[in-house]
Amino acid sequence: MSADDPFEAIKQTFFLECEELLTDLETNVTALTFGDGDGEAINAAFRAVHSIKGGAGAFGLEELVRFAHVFETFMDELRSGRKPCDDQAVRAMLHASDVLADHISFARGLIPAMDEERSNTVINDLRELIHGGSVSTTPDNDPDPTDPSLEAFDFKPVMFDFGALPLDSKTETAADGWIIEFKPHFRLYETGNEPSLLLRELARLGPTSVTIDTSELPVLSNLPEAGSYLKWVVELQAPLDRHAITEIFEFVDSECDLNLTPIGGLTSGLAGVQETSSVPVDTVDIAALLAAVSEDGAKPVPAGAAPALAEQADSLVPSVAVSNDTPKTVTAPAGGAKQVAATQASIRVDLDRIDKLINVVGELVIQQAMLAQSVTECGLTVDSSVKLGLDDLELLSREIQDSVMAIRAQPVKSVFQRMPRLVREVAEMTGKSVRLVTEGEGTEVDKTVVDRLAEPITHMIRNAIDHGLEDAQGRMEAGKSKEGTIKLAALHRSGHIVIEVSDDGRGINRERVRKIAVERGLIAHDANLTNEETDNLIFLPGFSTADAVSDISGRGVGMDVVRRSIQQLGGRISIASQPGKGSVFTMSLPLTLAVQDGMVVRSGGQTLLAPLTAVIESFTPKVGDLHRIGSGDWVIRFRDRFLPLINIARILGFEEADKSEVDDIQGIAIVVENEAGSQAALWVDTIQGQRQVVIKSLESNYRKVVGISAATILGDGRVALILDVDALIALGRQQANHVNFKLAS
Amino acid sequence: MGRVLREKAKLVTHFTLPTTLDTRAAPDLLEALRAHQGQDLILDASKVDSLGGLCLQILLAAKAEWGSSPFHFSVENPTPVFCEQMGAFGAAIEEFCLQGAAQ
Repeated sequence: MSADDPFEAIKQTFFLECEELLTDLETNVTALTFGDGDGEAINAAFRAVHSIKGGAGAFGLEELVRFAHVFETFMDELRSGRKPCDDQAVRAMLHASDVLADHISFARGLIPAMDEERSNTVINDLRELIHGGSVSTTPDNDPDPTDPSLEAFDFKPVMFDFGALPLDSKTETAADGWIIEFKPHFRLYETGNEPSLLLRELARLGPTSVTIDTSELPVLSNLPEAGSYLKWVVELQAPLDRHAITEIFEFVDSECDLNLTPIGGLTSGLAGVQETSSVPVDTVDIAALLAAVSEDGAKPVPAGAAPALAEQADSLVPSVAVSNDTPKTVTAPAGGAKQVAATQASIRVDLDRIDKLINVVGELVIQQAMLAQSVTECGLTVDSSVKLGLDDLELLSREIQDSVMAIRAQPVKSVFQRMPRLVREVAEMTGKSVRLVTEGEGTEVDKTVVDRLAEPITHMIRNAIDHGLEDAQGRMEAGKSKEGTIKLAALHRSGHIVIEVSDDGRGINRERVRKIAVERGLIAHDANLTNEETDNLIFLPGFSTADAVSDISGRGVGMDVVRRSIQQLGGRISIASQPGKGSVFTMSLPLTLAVQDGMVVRSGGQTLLAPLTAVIESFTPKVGDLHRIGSGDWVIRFRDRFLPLINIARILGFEEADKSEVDDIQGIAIVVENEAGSQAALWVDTIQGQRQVVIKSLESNYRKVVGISAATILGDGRVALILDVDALIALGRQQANHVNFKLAS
Repeated sequence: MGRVLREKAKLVTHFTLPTTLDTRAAPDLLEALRAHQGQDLILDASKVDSLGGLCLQILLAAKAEWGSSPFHFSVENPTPVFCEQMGAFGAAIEEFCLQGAAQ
C-alpha cells in the first residue's frame, strides 16, 4: 500500500498507538512484578491489551488478535480474582507482553519472522494457567478470539466497588440501573468480537437479567450466512454512570446498535438531554476521520473497510471524529467524555513537518541576528526605536526557537520502557536474578537523541548484568541479597541530559582490567594509572574482559562502541566504580542536536566553531610552552603535561605549508578532549566568543569534509564551519605537524 | 407424546455438535443443519465446550424452522458449559431439551 492510502495511514497510526499501549502494559506489569501494583494495574494492563486486540481485529491481524485474546482472557481471570496474581502469573504476563510486542513488530514489518514456537509456548502457558491444565497448541486448538472456551463460563456477578468510581456530578448516573439494548452487526463477529464476552462484562458491573430478542430472526432456511439478527436486552441493576457501560462497548461501537435507558431516571444533571443514547453506527463521517490522519482524505475507502475504519478512526482520533452529522442525542461513542477530553490534549504531527519548522525558525534567528548587526553598523543609537524593536524581535525569535525545540522534546520513557524486557532476557540467559529500577522517565530530550539512546543503554545494561552483577551465590558470599539491582536514571543537569546506569555488583576488577590492557598493548606494563584511568580503559577500542564470546555482551566490541555512540551524539560518558559495591556509568548528552553551543574562533582567515562539549580550557601560551619533538610534531605544555598541538589552519588547508619559526606568540591554544579521553591543543588566531548556533548539515548540503562535522550561519551572514574535534585529533596524529607557530622572543 | 411416538417409528438423525461453536464454526453448522431439514433431528451437545453468538443464532433459527414443521428437533446431553452459555445469552436450554426425550 502506498503512503497515501488512507487505510494504511490509519493502520500506521494504530501501530503508533500500540507503542503507547505497550508502554502502558509494560509499566503496569512491571509494577505488579515489584508488588507495587494493585487491582488498577491489572485493569490498566487489561485495557491496553484489549485496545490492541480491538485495533488489530479491525485490520485483520488475526495472529495478533488471537494472541491478544488469550492474554486478555488470562488477565481477565486475574482481575476478576478467579486466579491469583502470584509470581507465576506475573511472570506469564511478562512473557506474554514480550510476545505481544513481537507480534506487533511482525505485523508492522519491523521483524522478518515471528517466533511461532515461543508464541505457542506462551499461549500454552497462559491457557494452562487459565484452565489449570495443559492444553495442546496444535493449530486446530489455537485460541481464537471468537472461541469462548477460553473464557470463564461461570457468569457469577462480581460486586463492583462503587466507592472507587469517580462519580462526577455532571455524569449520567442512573438511579436504579440501566436497560441496555444491544444488537451486534455481522461485522462485530467478523472482527473477532463476541457478544458473550460483552454480556459477561456487563454482568461484572452488577446483577443482570438477560433477555434474548429473536423477533427479527428468520427461520433456518432463510437465514443468510452473513447476517446478525439476535438482539439482547440486559437489565443491569446497578446505579452506574453511563460511561461504565459504554466503556465495555468501546471497541465495537461501530459494529453494533446500543441503546441505554436509565431505570428510575438520572441522578444528576443533564436536563434536556435525552435519556436514551445510541451509538452512531451510520453517522460517523469516515472521510473526515481519514482526513485527520491522512493528508489525502478524499481518497476512497477500500471496500468493506469502512466499519473497521470507523472503529479505528474513532478510537484513534476521537478529537476530530464525530462530525456535524452526529445527532445531538448521541452521547460519546463508548469511551466517554473523559477519554475524548484526554485525547484532545495532543495531536500527532509528522516529524518532517517539525524538522522543517525548526529549520525555518533557525533561519529566522539567523536573519534576525544579521539584521541586528546591520542596524548596529548603521550607527543607530541604543535607544532608537529600530534598535529597541530589534531587541524585542530577538527575544521573540529566541522564544519561538525554544518553543519549537520543545515540540521535539520527548520523555526518555519510550527508551526506558524497552529495558525491562532486556533485563528479563539477559537475566534468564545468565541465570541471575535482577531487578531493574528506573528513575526520571519523564525527563525530556530531543527526539533524535531519544531515538539514538536505546543502543548505548542496551549495551550498558547488558554489560552491567553480564559482567557487573555477581551470580546468586557470589552475592550471598559478598553479603548481598540474591537479587542484583540495575538502576537506570535520567535527569537534567547544566543544559544536558544525564543518563546513569548503575549496578550493585562487584565493581570493576581493576587488576584484571590492567592486566588485559597490558596484554593487548593498550598500556605500558609499568604505566602509572589512577583508579579512574584504569576504569576508563574499558572504553578503549577492542577492550573486552569477557573470557568467552557470548551472545550477551562479550562480543569483542566492548564499551568503545557505547562511547562512540555517545560521542556521535555530542555527549560524553564516564565510569565510577567501587570494588565490591558496583559501578555507575554516566552519560551526558546535549538536549538537542539541532543547536549547539560553541566557541567561535578565527584561524587562517576563517571563522570556525569549536563544540563547547569538547573544550576543556583555552589559554595564551608563554615562551617555552611550545616544544618540537625532533623535526616534526609540536607539543604544548599544559598543567605539567605535554599535549599535541594542532594548527587548525594548517591541517584544514586554510594556510600555506610550513614556514620557518618566528619569534612572537600570536595565537591561542584551546585544549580539547575527544571521547576517548585523548587531549590535544588546537592552535587558533583569536577567540571571538561563545554562542549557540543552529546546526546545518554539511553532508546533506555539500559533502562530508574530514575534520568538519557541520556548518552554521553566524549573525553577520558568514558561514562558520563546526570543528569535528575527534577527527582533528586523529588527523593531527596522522600528519606530521610541520606547523609554523609564532614564538615570542 | 405423539411426536415421540412418531420419532420412535421413524428414522431420527443424531447430529453431534462440534466442540467449538464459535464464529468460524458457524458456516459449517448452518450447512449441516440445513442438510437435515425435513427430518427429525437430535443434536448431541455432549462435546460442546463453547458457544458463540452466531452459532446460537443458527440453533435458534433451526429451532424455529423445525418448530414450524412436523418434525422433531431437540438437543440432548448438553454439557454444563453449553447450558451456562445458553443461560448467559438469555436463551433457555430447556426449550431445546423439553422435546429431547429420544435418548
